[in-house]
Amino acid sequence: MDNIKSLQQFSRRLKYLFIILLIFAPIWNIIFWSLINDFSSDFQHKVLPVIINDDLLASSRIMGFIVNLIPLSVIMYGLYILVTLFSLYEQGIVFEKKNVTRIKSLGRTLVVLFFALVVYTLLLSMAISYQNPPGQRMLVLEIVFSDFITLFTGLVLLALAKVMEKGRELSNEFAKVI
Amino acid sequence: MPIIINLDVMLAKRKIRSCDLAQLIGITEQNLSILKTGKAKAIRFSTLEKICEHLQCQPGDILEFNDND
Repeated sequence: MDNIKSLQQFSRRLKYLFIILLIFAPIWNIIFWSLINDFSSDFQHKVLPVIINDDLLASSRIMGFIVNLIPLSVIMYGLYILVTLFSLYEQGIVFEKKNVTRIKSLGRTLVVLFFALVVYTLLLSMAISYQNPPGQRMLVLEIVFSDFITLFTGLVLLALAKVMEKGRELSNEFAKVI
Repeated sequence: MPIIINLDVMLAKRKIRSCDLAQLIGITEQNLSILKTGKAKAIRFSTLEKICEHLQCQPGDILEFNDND
């Protein structure tokens, strides 16, 4: 019983953490695109796919904000799944079909995020360099190591969900051996 | 399922309640209910032995094969 209680407490804390991240993520998106011109150029080089020399125009920032909604919505959906998953753990529900469904959804979300990030980089490079004169506009197609980690993690979660499902079926079968 | 469990019949014949039999053979009433309703996937020999011991019957009195297919 102590194991279940400590799992429930731990799950409750993680659930609140994910709720906070779920609320903070879109707020950060708004703050980021509002204040991007005030950030240091080093920071801008790290987060943007193209180097910008002048301040971004309001139209570019709005387009950047809209493009950023693509991966942001996927991330927020993933955080929502985590909140519901850890709510189940908080109630002591650990190996039910509902848990397996959520882990599968999380895996699929991470796989989708991989593609969303590729599209995001492409569209963001266009949105940011749009204000440049013709001939200096850029289209960046970039896949970095962390994107592959995201994809790999998603695939691992899908495999784990499959194993959990089979384990659950075996457990149910065994429960019917009298 | 072709294997039919006639535990209800034997319980009635011996005038023993399900809850009492469950307690005697050391399984839960829920598990005995799973057995009675034919939802069990398998039965251990030890369980079958105890059922036959307490109901004073043979395994064939409880288990019946009926393949209508």
